[in-house]
Amino acid sequence: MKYEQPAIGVYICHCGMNIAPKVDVENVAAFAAALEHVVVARDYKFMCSSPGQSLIIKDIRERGLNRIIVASCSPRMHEKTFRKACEQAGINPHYLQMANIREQISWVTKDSNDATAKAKDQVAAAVARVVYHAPLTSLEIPVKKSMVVVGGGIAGIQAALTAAEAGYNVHLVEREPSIGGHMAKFDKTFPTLDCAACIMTPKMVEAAQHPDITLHTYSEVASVEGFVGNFKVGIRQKPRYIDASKCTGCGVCTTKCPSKVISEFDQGLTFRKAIYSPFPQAIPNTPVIDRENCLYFTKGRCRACEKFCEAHAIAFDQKEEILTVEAGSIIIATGFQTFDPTPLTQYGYGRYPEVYTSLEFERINNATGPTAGKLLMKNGKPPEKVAIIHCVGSRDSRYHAYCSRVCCMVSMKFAHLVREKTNAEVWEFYIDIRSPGKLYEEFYSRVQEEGVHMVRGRVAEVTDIPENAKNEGRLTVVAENTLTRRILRVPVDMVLLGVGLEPAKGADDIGRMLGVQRDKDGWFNELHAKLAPVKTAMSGIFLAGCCQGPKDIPDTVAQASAAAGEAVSLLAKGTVRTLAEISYIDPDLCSGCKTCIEVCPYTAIGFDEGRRVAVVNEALCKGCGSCAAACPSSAAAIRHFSGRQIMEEMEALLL
Amino acid sequence: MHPFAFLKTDGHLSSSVAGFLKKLLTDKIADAVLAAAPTPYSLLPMPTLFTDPEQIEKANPLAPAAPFNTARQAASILKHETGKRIALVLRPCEIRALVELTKLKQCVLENTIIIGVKCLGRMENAVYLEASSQNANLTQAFYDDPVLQDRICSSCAICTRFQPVHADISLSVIGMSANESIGLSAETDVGLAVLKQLGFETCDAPEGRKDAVNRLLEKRESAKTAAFEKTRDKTDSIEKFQRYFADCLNCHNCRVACPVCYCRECVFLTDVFAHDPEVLLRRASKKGMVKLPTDTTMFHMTRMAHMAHACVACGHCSSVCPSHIPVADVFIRVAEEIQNLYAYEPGRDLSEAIPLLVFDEGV
Repeated sequence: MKYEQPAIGVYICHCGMNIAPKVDVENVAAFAAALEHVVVARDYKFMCSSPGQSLIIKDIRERGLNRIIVASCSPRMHEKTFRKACEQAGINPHYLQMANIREQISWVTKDSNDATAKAKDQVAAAVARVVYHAPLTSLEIPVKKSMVVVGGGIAGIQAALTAAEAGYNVHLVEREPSIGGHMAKFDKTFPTLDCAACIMTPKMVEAAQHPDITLHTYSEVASVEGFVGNFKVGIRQKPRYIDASKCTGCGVCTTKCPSKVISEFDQGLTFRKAIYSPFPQAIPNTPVIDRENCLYFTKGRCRACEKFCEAHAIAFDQKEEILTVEAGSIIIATGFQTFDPTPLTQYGYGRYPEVYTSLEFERINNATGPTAGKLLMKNGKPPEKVAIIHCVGSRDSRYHAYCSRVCCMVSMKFAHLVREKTNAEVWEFYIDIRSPGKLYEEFYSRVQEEGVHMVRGRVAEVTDIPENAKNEGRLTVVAENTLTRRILRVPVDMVLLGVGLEPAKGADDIGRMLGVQRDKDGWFNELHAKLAPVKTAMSGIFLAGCCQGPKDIPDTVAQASAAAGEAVSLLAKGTVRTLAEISYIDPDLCSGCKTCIEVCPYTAIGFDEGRRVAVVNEALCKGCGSCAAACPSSAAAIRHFSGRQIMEEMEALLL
Repeated sequence: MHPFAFLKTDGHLSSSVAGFLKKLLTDKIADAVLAAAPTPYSLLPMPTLFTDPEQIEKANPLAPAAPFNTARQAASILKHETGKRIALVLRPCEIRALVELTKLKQCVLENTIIIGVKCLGRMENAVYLEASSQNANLTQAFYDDPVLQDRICSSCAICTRFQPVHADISLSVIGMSANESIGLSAETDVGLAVLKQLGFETCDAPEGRKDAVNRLLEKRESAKTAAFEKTRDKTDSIEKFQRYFADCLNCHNCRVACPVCYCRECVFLTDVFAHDPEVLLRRASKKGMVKLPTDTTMFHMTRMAHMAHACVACGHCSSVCPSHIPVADVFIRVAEEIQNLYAYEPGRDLSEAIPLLVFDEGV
């Protein structure tokens, strides 16, 4: 719709030598001057320079222009610049239209006459369109000063602590009974060989004690509503069957519980009770009752824990609860799980007792693990020869094509630990060694100096058929050493599989609830691989740690701090601005077919049951235009890309 | 095989069918029945909503005429849940359109009894009126006389989906002697319950019906192939397409008649196409002249883009064209290609998502 008589200024940019030598800019300016509604048309060396912008501002003020065309580069480069200039001169920034005569014309057209003719068409189209531009504004929305962090591993803890230190309320949601994640299971950490627990548990305690952090352990995100600055997150608190306010964490219940259950925390290498804390330093140290294995819940008798609990903290009648919290932003830190090597039958995992995954071996090395940290085989003896296989499930098109990034260093850490704790010989089978972190290459050299055999070659097979009688009862690793081009058959006592990383189970549900896309491997997509690595396409939702892709601890902590920083920067400002170029659904035209609701990738369209029409949530809409394309009556339209504006532009181009 | 029952007609086809519908009301199986019936002023059967059992004796849903695709009228009755149970007598193309309108949230198919007609086609209104002026009992005669059956409209003559899908009960005249009895086939549990409530004994369907259906299908298939070939020749370039629609008056009757054009207001009535005089003058000045009204090709192309996946091939767009443009011939042909492309069949299944709403990354 025309709001006033248009008075258009057209500015043709030379862009130095980028446009002018190919496009006859003076000719185009003269052409533009003759177009309807055009009051002034000029050409200038660099429109984006300060004098260039001043030219526009001066003309708006002195000649009363109310529409501006800049024919120059892609609007991705300088649309913001020229909009600011319009605003500064006192007209709505959306009265600007750019004609891209650089990327679309001068750079890609051979003939100068053709280029000039095309530039004229582009300018004419922009002039035809800008007549129908409308002044647009955006809304300023207040932001809730709190956030939710999903996942209580090192990434989640780090992010929570960073944000809480800045003075924001953080709800840290962890589905396991304790925070700590994978790092709590590790023994040593590469390359400095710090004890994982020694550096992890202080962080866990700090998070638990922080006045601005609320821990929600044994809890899951059940629902997410709202939009940037104003999320409502439903947290499902699973029943622990223990009154945490009464429990002293004395552990008597666990001692008295008669049920034995395979320990998930120890990777199935030990047993726990039906009432249990996953590990000694668990936070909180309130145990949980595993309903499926509790005799009282399964058979209706026992209640030993209840009998012996002096604090009367056992609460068999506890129910699942849903708690709703408000959050200005959300950080996803759902981490990873390790690749299950069972399908790679040639490595014998699950068939041969002495084939371990890297996580199992972490527990064997750990002082709180099944062997109290002693490196022993299942027969109680130390191994004399250990093989470590790299890239299990990674760099393998049948499983995960990507490199899991941590396994080389983990494997070399294991080699070091074996050498340190035993006299065993260590054979590492790798494809390439990837050690690009700080002090990583040095660690690689160190392990080599410690006498570890490094063999470049993917292992073909692990077999229990011995080469000769001497090696009866041992495993044999068969591989080609691709450097010497010899087939090796190495008899060993123990095989460690450097299993790859994959997205944690449940990441898909979280992604669906939050509307954050995942890549083909299931990792969450960052907004921009280089320039926005912790943002997502959903405003107000950020990524920390392995949920975005495999990472080691230093990178995870760095990224978690960055995510917290982005989240804090959003909350600190106190308000967010909605986009101006978003969808609008005309209630007089809407037939209520809900097609737009189905195609909206941002769940930004709701339905007014009373009027039976679709309604856009302006805070959620990104202006992608899916609804406008899908709506047959054009009830849904994108502001600044209305049917009318596009029709006029097309007509000027085509007719 | 669906449970089958005979509805005796004994030479009175129309009144037997009306009697069957009447029983739905008297036995309180339905609160209202939507069926075609002539008006006091014309023989042309109009969609009529009956609640009085005496009035429904006038209904004649097997009359070989249909001035509308009744899906639109059905949808207006079923716009939202009313607590009333409504029986609807519909042709297969009408049921297909109703299913599409349901998917598009324009109506709800709860608490309905859909009685589908195994359809031999409809005549154009003028043809029907002329024929019935010569034959007082045209409905009965139509099902007895193949010559009359050949007078159906061109869209029906190439229709291969003449058997109702998504009906609770289907009324079968194909392969039956309509002057003795017609078939009632219970295609859903609802349909079977209704037949039982009405006291029908069910049995297996009689032999020979399938052969009759297959013979008709073969005839229609070859007619369709020939028609498609002809239409393709007439429309396979933009120049030919424009010639095809050259006599279009931009009256938009085809859009009004289309049962699956569901917009509350067509985009062609909005601002987008309400050109300012400057635009019209600019268009004229480009070539020295411009035909008015403008956007004729754009209108048909847009309607095709919007409706091709949902076109139920009822042919009403052709029937209402004042310039006698065979609109349906080109729509049905293009629709079939589009629907094959997406393996989508409008009206086949309520749970089958409209292609536009399915996101498939492919492999």
